[in-house]
Amino acid sequence: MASHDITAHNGHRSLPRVWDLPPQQIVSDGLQRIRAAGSTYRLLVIITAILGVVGVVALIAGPVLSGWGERQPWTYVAVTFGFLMSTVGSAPCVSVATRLVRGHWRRPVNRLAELWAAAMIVPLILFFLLVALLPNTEGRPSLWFGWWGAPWLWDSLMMIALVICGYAFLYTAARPDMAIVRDQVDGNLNGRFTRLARGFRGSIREWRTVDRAVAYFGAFYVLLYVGTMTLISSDFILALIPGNNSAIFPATYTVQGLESGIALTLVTAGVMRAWGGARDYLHKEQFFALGKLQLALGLLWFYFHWTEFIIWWYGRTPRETALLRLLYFDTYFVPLVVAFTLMFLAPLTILLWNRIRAGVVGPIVVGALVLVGQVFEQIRLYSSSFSPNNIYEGELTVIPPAYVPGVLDILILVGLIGGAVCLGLLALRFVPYPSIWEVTGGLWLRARKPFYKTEVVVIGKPD
Amino acid sequence: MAVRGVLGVFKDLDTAIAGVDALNELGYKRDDFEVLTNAPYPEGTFGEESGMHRLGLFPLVGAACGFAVGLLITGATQMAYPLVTGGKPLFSIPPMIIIMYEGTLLAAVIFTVIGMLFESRLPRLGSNLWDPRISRGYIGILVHASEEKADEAAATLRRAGAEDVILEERRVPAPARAPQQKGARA
Repeated sequence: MASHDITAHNGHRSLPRVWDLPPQQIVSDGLQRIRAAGSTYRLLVIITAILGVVGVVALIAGPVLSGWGERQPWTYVAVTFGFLMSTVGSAPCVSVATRLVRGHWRRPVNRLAELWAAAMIVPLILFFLLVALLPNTEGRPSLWFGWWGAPWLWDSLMMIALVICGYAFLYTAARPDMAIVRDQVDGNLNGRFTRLARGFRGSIREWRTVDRAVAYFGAFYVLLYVGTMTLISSDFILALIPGNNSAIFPATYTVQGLESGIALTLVTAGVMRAWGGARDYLHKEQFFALGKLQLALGLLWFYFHWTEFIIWWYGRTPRETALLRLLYFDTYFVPLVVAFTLMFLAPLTILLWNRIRAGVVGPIVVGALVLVGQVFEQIRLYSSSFSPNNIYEGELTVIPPAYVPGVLDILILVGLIGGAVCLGLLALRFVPYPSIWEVTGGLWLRARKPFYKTEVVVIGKPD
Repeated sequence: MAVRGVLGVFKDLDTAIAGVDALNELGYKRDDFEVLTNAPYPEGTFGEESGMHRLGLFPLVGAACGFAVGLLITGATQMAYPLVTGGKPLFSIPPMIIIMYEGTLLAAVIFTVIGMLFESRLPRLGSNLWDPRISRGYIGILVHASEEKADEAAATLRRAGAEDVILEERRVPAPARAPQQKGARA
């Protein structure tokens, strides 16, 4: 693979090299990671796998052995769950959104975002552990109106549907590439990909099926994600803080999840560009486009939080004052400041500048900062909601002290996130990067044309 | 009438289009041959018409079923247990919405998965001839010709610029397995 990413210079103009790659090169690049794993990749898998094991051990040694009688020991399990739902859970939504707008820049990015669906098994397992902590909805505020099986049954159904849809979305989008791998590898790998590709041959009819199935699963995934995040934020956060009946919080929680999904995609793209041999595919164009989305979602983060905050602040009833003290001013002030800085101020002050936004490093750095900010935001939210003892009260009469994490809590957080990253890395051995059929399909639609004293890439949009 | 598969392997789009045109001139209809590629071309590239696709029916039916089940569960529960809550009517829509939403989406996803399996596992009526070069960017034109016309189809593909033409020797029956190159060079 060529190491440079610019092929044409006409004065100030530069054109992404991906538009000049021959189709055979794309196939060969896609097969690279399937055929042989590099030493850096193997090292990363081993480290993240060890972290995953450490996380599981800490989970068993801490919360599981302490039982399901008290919520507080499970605080950092919930933090990890919330973080993973807001990152690996929302990354496929980025792929869906960019597909919907039919931008060609998205072709090398989609697969990176979809890959994280492979790690959804981790938040699913954590969900089942956590949902058992929730009491019956009778006698306490919830959105369930006393339905039978609430919240356990209905939350579980939503979560299962999301995970099934995520895997179906990933598989459907990857199946044509699995067929390509099947034909280009021998031995055990051939057997694996023969089973995975399930006889895909690439007829026009099959391509139509793929096109529609990806669109359907993608659309359902976004709808399910919004619904699932609404239920999670309501049942695991709002309903567990007496007096917290914020109408906007589920939307806030979903929006900040989407912000972190973009951040995760940016960081993944940065890692793949730097160490994954994807320099030809991930050009400034991709980071610029994702950077704009990141900035927009960062602004939305502030808008939603401000809307919630100002109502409580202006209302100043005892119920609202207690909530302000718990979530904003006293107990969890430090995590709030960190989250505010990293999830809003950093995207705003860094990506505001066109030169930084149009570069590669700026958006990646912001993405990494947003991910760190998301950890602190989840700590603020779940530490608040897993601390109150009496969730049947109408308002917080006693503001619980801040929950200070122990060693096991930190191990759970770091370990289980590492485990999810490990699954994402392992998925790269089954799902080729880049998406061969999508990047190659984009090549048919572009042409390089002279335009007066410069040269431009003309991109067709067939529908 | 016995049908025999003839696979022409073309190196580029121009010769593949010439192959399609030559088959059309020979009297073959669109259903008589398939174009096989490793990436999707814009609709209509090979002269195919854009048609309806059955896959859309599956999520639609699934969503309708899921919605109906959600409506039934919540509606019937409210009617079976007539408890006035908060002065609201016995049959209220807002409490039903979340469960109907869940039911609709869950069933739509499950039906789409079933639709995908169904669409992928349909037994192929024609030949299952395949060449691994297609995965590397070549274009395959697979003709389902009658036994008598197979040689003529092969010659036509060859004249149109096919780099290789493979004639089917026997039927490959398993649609779920990986297609393999099985045939004899023409």
